[in-house]
Amino acid sequence: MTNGAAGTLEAGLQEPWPTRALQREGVGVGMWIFLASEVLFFSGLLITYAVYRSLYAEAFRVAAARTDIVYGAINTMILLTSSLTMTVALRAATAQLRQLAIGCLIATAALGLAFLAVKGLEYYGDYTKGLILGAHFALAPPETQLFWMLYWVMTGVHAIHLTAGILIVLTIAILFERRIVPLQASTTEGVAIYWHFVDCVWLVLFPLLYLVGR
Amino acid sequence: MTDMTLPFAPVEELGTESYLDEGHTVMSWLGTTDHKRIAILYALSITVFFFIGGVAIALVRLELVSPQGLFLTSDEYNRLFTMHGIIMVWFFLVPSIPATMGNFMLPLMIGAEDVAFPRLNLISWYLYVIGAAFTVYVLIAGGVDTGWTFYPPFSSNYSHSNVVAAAAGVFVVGFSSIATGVNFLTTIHMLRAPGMTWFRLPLFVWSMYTVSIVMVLATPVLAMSLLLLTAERVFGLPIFDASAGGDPILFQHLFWFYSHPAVYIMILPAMGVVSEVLACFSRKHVFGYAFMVYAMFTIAVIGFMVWGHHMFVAGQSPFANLVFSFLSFIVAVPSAIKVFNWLGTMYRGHIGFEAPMIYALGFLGLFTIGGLTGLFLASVPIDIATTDSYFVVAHFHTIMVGGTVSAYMAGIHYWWPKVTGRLYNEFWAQFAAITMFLGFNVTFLPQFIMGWEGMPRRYHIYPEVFQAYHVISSFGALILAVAYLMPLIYLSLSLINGERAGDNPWHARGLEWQTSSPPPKKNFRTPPRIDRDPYDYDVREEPPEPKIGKAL
Amino acid sequence: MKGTISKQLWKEPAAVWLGLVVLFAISTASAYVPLGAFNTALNLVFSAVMIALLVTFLMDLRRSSVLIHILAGAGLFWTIFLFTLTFADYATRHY
Repeated sequence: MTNGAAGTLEAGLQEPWPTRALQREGVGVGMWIFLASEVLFFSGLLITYAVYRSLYAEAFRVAAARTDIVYGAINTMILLTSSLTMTVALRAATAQLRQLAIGCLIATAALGLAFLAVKGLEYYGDYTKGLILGAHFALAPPETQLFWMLYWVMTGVHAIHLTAGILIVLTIAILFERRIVPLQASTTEGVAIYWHFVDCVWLVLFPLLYLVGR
Repeated sequence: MTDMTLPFAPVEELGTESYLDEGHTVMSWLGTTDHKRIAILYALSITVFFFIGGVAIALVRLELVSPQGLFLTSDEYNRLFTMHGIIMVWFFLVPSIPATMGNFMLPLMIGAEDVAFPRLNLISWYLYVIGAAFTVYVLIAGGVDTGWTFYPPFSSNYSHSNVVAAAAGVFVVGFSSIATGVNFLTTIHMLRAPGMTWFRLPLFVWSMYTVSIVMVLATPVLAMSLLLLTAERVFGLPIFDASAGGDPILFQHLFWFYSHPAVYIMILPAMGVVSEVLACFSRKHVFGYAFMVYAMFTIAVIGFMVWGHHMFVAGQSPFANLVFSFLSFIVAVPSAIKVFNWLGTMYRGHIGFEAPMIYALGFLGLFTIGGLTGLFLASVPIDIATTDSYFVVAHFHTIMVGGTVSAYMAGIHYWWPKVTGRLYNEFWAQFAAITMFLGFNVTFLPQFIMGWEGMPRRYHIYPEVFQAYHVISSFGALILAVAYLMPLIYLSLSLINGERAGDNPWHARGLEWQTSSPPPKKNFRTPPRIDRDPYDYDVREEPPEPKIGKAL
Repeated sequence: MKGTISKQLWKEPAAVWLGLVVLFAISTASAYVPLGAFNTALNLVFSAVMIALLVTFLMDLRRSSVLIHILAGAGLFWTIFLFTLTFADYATRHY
């Protein structure tokens, strides 16, 4: 699949692209189009948040005061740093600096895992505070349930996207390390664009979930 | 820019083999990355589901012959019309033209070897299959009874049917759509052969472009609406639950934000096919090519702004009703422009009545009627009276069946020689096309009338006064069923012993006709000539002799 | 030689990272100043600036083609349709 007529394609060039430069640009185009769809996916959640917040502002303030801003802030720092390492990984891949590229990819994945670990601790904390929805929900006005529903769903969907990102980053790191796939910019660029997007989503989620009602 | 030259595989490598000769094993098909084979995989899959959805509605129409029902319980009835809707919308109509003809023809029409991301293309088919597997599970497990629209709180709190599995199936197949859209947009932007400028693109390619925009941007919101619904149903999270302050109408906003553009997903490709067929069988250029392009873009964009017209009586504010009604009138304008331009294309043309043309002409008439009845529904006072009646049912079937299915059949017959290298039997094809048109009208004209007179949709037991209409409509459905079976027969026979088609049996323009029928794996043995306008037909030129093909 | 190249690679992203952290700190701190409904608006403006920085410098949007610029805006533009028209309903309900 990667090599058509023997010898006429450069290493890493996929059919039907005529040159690697065009392929890299094509991967970028394709990934940005996919991001547009992801923006709309999260917008479904954001409009839900916006509508309910506009209807129940006070309940949202009461509910949001119970989020753990320390965990949230730590996680934001983790993600911002992971975007840094991801950027360096991409630039290193472009410059063909193998060790730096693979090292930074692994660092990115590690930071992602750290985020998930912190999130896990946070979720456990929320559980002990009685913020799981259902019969034992701790807060009073019923509309606070809407905020917490959004908290669970928004952070959950984000976490799923982050997990997918971690798996993909680790996969390409391994593929590059074992030289199954030549270290190249187009693959890394596609992954980097996705990773940065997941970070950007968090940058929107954080104020909506953690900075309300302070 | 030297980057723009595309390498064509050396002639000595290819000989006379076509894409069909490259491997005959099952794995060579299931693991293919060739856009042409993937198109065929899709075609086979959607045909299967078309017939499953058809059986569902055949049972419904049979049941409706009697006002008290015949052999179904109301619960079974609800499950049947729901499955019909879910299957037909997501497992037939949405993928129909894009995943089959788009996949096959798009690279050929722009002079490319394949789509931008061939492996993503195969993944998109597997996503379809996984979504379809969920749906088959739902069928076996007893169906779902919420209607294809999944409205809460019934779907989240009260329905005892397989809502989650059905929603999961639709969720997954949605990503198949998005993948196709990403692929097509990148392909059109980046893999056009040298000389293929934007305004030399055939209108079918423009229709694939605009439909991809809609697929990519609308489908995710559907996915989110179903995710939220599932979360509410499975985890008991109050999302649209009024007791916690939730709003069921919010679901409807999210659902219809996708589902209205979805109908443009179904019609834009049909418009693309019809432009190709009408030009070819009028032996004339398409009238007003540029406005045809602008119209498709306008439809794609404004189509995102009208969804509230499905919610006029749901509890939206009157102001919202006003805005959505106004925008719904506006969105009709570009469609009307296209109808006039198609007529302009045929005017003073040299008309042939081969099967693709009969289907395209049927499209023209039925799309116009469907569109006009849509204008009735865009008016709030009329909609308040006719909403959830058979008038609406007839309206959308006129566009989806009279429009999209007709165009789908037109495309199947138009490109059949190119895809298979064989000719089909023209007599039976024309007969089937006319039968389909007649069957359609017998089925749906009574529905317009009885809807206007008050017959509600989705009702199992109905007042006796409507029985005559139902009987006529069901008889029409029987005619349609026979008409749909006919192509299965004569097209299969064509595969077995149809006459060999030449490269260009219709003497059509378009790059796909500059290569062999069927094409080689890499599409072109020698680089195609791209130096003319897309539809430079000469009306004075003699069209090819109509081929009757082999008699049955 | 490789050492200096890799140091060069870090410079610009690290500077952007620092900027992002500073903006994040200010935004978070501002949440504790009682500004009513304006708080969230201000926070989201900060988020928007941070995203713009990330996208421009870390995702190299400034070096991308016009096409990618359009694509980057498309999702946002369509989100505006979703928000405006949905609020056309919710903002005008009197019940």
